[in-house]
Amino acid sequence: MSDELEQKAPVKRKPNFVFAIISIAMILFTIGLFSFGVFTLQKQIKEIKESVQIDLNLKSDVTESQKTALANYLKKQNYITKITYKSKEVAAQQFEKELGQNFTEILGSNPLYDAYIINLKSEFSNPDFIKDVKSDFLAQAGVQEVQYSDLAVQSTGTTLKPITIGIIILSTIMLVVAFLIIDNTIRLMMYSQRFLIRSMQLIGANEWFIIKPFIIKSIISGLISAAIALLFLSGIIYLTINKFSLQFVSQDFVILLFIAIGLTLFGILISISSTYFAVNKYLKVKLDELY
Amino acid sequence: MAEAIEINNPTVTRIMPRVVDIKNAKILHHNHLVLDNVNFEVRKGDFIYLIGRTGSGKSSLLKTLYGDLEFTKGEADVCGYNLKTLKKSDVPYLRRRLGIVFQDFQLLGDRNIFDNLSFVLQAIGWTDKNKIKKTIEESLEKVKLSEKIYKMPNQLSGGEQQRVTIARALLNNPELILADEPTGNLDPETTNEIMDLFYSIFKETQTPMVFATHNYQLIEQYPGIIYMCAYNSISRDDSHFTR
Repeated sequence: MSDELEQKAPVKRKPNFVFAIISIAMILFTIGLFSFGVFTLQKQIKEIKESVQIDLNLKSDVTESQKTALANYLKKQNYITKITYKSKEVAAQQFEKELGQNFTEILGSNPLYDAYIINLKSEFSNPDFIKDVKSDFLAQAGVQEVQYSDLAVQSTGTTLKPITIGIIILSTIMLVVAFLIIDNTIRLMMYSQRFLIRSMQLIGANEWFIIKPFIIKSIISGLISAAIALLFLSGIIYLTINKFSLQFVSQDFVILLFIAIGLTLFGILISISSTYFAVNKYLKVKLDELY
Repeated sequence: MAEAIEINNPTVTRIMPRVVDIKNAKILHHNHLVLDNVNFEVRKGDFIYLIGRTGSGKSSLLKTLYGDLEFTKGEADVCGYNLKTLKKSDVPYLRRRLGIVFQDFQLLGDRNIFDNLSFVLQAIGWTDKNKIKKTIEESLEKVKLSEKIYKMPNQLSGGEQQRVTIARALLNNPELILADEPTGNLDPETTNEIMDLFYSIFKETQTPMVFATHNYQLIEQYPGIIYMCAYNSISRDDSHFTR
């Protein structure tokens, strides 16, 4: 071959690898954005459910020891997320502020009760559970009555349940679609390598020696894809919070870290598994089947 | 033109150890009978041609020898491996005893020549980088391609690529070299260059070589033992033996 021809001869590049990284990064970014939206929505749902208050109004003749015993009882219940004690004086002040009138002067006495106000953990904030625990609360010494808004409890249950189910179904579909697209991308990349794999076999390389570099490459491509996806995701979250001032968007560092780790692991694991199965397939087939 | 050598004399080679010994075998391709009642042997010092028309079974026989086609009928021993009981996981180890040269080169197109050859040595467990580099340089020296060591395969001509393939085949001092139409894609001048190279290596190393070819001119120029494949059978043809 002449020198001129050698210089003109194109050096083979690796576009498939780059395209695969970009494709996987885009899919991981979409999953990340969806996951972030789901987490934000779940956080909102959780806050709404935990905002439902149950008032345990105490008897007018309740003793301090009964209050302490009740407080201790409530603290032991794992379904309660928050306990607030409100004396009837504080309750009256708040009520007067809302009404704009001094009703205790009009009535001549304060008709309100000392109360413990509790909030349930979101997973327990449903009508059936509240009905169950209501009787337990009433059985405690010093408790006059248990009050909560039926409407609030019912509406959180009826409205939020289909949303949660919808999120679960959508998440599952999203993950399956993402898996199929990434798997297909990697299989296509490996399809273009099938004759290379065949050549490696013919010159005496054993299966693991052939698979190993592809697996290492898949880990690298998974990592790079996840890094690109996270970079774009961080940019979107930053813009959403700081430029568009959407403060309801979750800024929970743990959630962001969870998404980052989850996306990276997903990217790497799916790259490894798809690569392994694709290479293994071409190691098993006969030459005629490669065409 | 290369001169014939004494080692190709059948009376001399019969005392050399067998590298390939096939008896009463059937060569099948996808369960289709290609060669029947095959009795074929290769001994150290043999320079053998498998000749015959396209589809006569030459390549199928070679593929069977390097474990690419399943062997089920008859007896076959290649470099100490019994092909009938050969496990799939042992095929790479059989191939490491062989040097295989293909018509379409089978170079790894995604890496340069050095990495192509390095791959083979690493695949058989070499780890010493200096030793790998020295062996590759020596091997490329033999095929006169030292200056192309860092070129990509697609930057070489067909003849150069085939010389790289020969260098690759020689890397681990094979017990047998199998060449399937090694000059099939080359022009006559390059064909002679490649055959000169094979023949000089053969004279130097006495490594037995088996060539599948339909280029009968080669036989006149580079004499050897001839096996003829035709009508589902293979037979030795001593009438062409040249001293």
